[in-house]
Amino acid sequence: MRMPQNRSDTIKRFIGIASNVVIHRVLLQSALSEESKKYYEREISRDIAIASTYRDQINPRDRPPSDATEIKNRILKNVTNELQNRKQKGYDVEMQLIVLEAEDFLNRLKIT
Amino acid sequence: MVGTIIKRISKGSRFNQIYMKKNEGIGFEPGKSVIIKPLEVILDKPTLLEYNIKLLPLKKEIIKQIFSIIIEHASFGNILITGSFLQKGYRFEDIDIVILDPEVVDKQVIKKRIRNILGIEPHLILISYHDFQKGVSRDPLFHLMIDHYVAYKRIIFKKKKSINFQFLDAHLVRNNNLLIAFESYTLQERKKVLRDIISIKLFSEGKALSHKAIRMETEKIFGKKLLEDLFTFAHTDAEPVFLKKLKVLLKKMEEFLIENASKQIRYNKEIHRDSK
Repeated sequence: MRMPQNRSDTIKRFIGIASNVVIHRVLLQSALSEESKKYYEREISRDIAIASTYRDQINPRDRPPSDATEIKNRILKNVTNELQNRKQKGYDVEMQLIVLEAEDFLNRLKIT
Repeated sequence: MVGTIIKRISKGSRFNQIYMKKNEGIGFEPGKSVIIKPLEVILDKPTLLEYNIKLLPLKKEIIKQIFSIIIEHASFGNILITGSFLQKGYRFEDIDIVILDPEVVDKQVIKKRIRNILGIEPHLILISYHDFQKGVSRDPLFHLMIDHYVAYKRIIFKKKKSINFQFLDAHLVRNNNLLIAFESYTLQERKKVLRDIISIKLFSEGKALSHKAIRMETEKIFGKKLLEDLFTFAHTDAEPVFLKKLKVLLKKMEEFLIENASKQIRYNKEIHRDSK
């Protein structure tokens, strides 16, 4: 298996990873103490490192790409759908955290 | 023959000195070479308690050195060593060090000294005993840490599980990244994520969680040969077959966790309502 060769595949994978990380973080927000969050932050750093390998293949590398808004919207759509589905099943989800967590993730990787 | 003599260093005008009476001890005659060490270094050799594991002397010595470094730069309740360092052999990438009930901890100095002296990358986890115990009861990753561990002082953890399906679902979501970016993970990372997935599965099903149980469950799901092809021989042909099986497993687990989380939330709400 090889790394993706074209831009759209790279972006698709980047969006997939970003969506999973944001869902994970929103679901965990209310369940953890501040001390425990530090431990889980270390676990997430591995996902961020993986996401950054895809980010590095999306030009321009040092500033937001022209389709940054589209990427962000696709992440928000994925995350909202997944979390809405869980909310309907009774999960206690703070939906207002979605945008904050997504922006934090995208800022770290210079997408927005 | 006298083995040890304890003396005090006296301050001199040009040289500090240690005085001995003539004939004070056989083996301490003039002209003999001796080693001088501060008493606290000799007496303060840290102890090490192994839980469900028997380490080789070299690893024990490494752990004792780590304990010494931490003692010098921190005050705490206890220290635990867990993770891949305790597995057989020397193919570990880092060492997981849990400092329980940390008070004052010079994290950067500890990390730097362990790196410099032992050449091992340390992962320091600072957490209260209460939070760690809470983690053990509800998080498979914490629970697995106490399958076997080494401690500085005697310590026991309650292994009783408190299954929170929503919490486990949150962890599983992250592990889906292995499907999306399989080629970006190193071999060790792939093994770790797979271990995390299987530990969530066993934990959520209320089954016993140990390294052995995880290995057996993984072999049951993927087959021993496929795992060997993938992780021992790194056959790329095995990857699509593995990913197909992994996708099915993750989907099933997600459905199971969401379904049970939903039931658990409803049940808790009913209990809460009835208690009012």
